[in-house]
Amino acid sequence: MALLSLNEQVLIKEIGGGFLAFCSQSGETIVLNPITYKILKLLNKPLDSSTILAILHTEFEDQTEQLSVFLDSAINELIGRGFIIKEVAIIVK
Amino acid sequence: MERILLNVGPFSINLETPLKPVIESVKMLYAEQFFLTDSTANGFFDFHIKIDNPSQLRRWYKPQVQFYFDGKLPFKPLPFSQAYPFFEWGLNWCIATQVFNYLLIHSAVVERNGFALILSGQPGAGKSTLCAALVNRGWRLLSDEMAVVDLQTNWLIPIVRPVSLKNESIQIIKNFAPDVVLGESFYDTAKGTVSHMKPGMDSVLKAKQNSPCKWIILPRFVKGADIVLKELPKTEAVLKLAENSFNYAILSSQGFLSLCELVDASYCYELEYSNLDEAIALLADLPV
Repeated sequence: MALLSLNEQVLIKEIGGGFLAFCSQSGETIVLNPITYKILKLLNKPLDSSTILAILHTEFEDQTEQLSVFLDSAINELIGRGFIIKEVAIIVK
Repeated sequence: MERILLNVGPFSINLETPLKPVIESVKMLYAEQFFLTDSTANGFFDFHIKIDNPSQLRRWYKPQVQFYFDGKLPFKPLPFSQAYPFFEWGLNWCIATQVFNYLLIHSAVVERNGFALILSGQPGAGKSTLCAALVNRGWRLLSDEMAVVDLQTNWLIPIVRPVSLKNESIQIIKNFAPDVVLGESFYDTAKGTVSHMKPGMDSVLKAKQNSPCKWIILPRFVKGADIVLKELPKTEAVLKLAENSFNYAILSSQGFLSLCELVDASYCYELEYSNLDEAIALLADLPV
């Protein structure tokens, strides 16, 4: 199971009713929509994507149909840009 | 070889040149308050610049001029006729590439009633023309070329240097403010025709007064267009200023936090204009 977490080198700021994130590793700044902002805030502790989706469903009830597709796409984008890190948990029996 | 010592904002410059056109333009366009002597300078200079001919031959045959920074040659030579603008462009380059203790944003900055207005945009957006017009209608010049942001206070630091006007803007400002002091016009440069406007005495006398930012404007000159002032979302303003910054990425999280605070404390707009008087009247009524 893949766990996701926020890159420690990412800063998030709320400004003028909107949200920004800055990754000091890449020097990139991105504008976050409310869902992406929530995803990054949740990833202050490692979570898997199904847990994130369940939480998003409760907060963004009016968008539940698109959430799953959006979440996959947003996570891939944020991983690619270095804002979140994908950890693979190894289960030792 | 003449040695000219300048103190502009937080920067001190040691300029050496034997070239009369450079010496005369610097002495004409920089206020006497900014000249240092060996006794008033503390011996430390941020930038050691030399403007000279590249070789003996190039003094006489198709004369050229070279810009030396710390004894090195960062640029190819330019025609001799462009010696003074070469100094100004080279000094811009020195600040933009060597200064990391301030956030630097490519923009003009003016001030009124204690609050600064940043005019930021890509070259050709009309920010220097609007800046020159504003400082001839009661605003104080902090800078024509770059906003220098103190990373501790987020206040703007003046670097009161000549305002660089290009092409049609030169005549526009001559007509707009007939008493303005303009230097020589330099033709066929990479930026077209260039002339420099001497900063007014009010800006010179207040050159040590930093100001908090209150307004951020992204101007765009559109010939014949009606004036439009449109609110700019603050997140977009941060991205635009980051794009126009020389050292935002290098300053990393410090640059991001400073820029966010600067923008958060300011009203942000996009301005489309074609008439300077209309633009000035509109900017005089910005909220405080």
